[in-house]
Amino acid sequence: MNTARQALLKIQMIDFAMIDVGLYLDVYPDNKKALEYFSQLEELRESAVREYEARYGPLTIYGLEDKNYNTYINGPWPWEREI
Amino acid sequence: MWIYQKKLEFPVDIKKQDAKAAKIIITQLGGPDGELAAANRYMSQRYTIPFNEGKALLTDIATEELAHVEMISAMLYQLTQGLDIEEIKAAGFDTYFVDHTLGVYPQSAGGMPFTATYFQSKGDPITDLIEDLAAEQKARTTYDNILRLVNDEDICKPIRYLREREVVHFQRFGDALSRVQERLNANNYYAYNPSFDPSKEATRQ
Repeated sequence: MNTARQALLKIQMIDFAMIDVGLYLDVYPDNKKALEYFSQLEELRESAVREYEARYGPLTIYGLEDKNYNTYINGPWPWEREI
Repeated sequence: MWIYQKKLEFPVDIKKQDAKAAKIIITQLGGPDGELAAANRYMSQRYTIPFNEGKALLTDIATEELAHVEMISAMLYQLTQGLDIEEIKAAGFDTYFVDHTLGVYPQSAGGMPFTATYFQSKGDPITDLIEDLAAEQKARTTYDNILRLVNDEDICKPIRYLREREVVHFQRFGDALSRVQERLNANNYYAYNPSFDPSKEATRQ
């Protein structure tokens, strides 16, 4: 597995965990353990996204570190198997 | 993938319930030229559009259309919350009420439920983009008609905003169509389908 794919997989794993805990918190909003886990994941996500975007380009149009929109347009699209 | 933002793209704040207006505006949720059809159309077409600017544009417009689905739904909610049964009957909203109470359900003004037959994904960028251009104009006409039928400024403001977005999307799809045509043979744009015959594109140069 190449390093770009590995870096993305890390974000995908964190995001999945956040989606899953997020659903749990939607119905148990006061659960301390779940809240703690969610904020841990939030921190992990922030650094994982920062690392990924610095090396491989933005994940959203709000992640344009280099102010070059072409890196958003021309980076691989998720359905293209290039990443 | 997507992340939900707990906000509307443009504010919706309707103070006066109006079942008659809801009956009309619902067509921009689930009708033939509505926002749900638009979102599904662009979301489906983006996979096979053969250039990156097109993928970016269809993705971002599809995403904006989902925000428009939410705006129209918020309008329907605010127009109908608090209506009593007499008001529902007087406005002829009873035929909707019997099936959905005051739930938000995607259908046309004539009562036809939302269907994917409202849009196409043809897998040919010229065909798809021309459908998209037409779709934006059809939605613009619908918004113009809504503005002829309602007067409440709280309704008109978001409707005018949505109408403007149709015009902007039309412009951007026009730009995308030019980009496709620039890459094709100007003597015969239809010589091959760049989404299906990419090898022909390579031999063209």
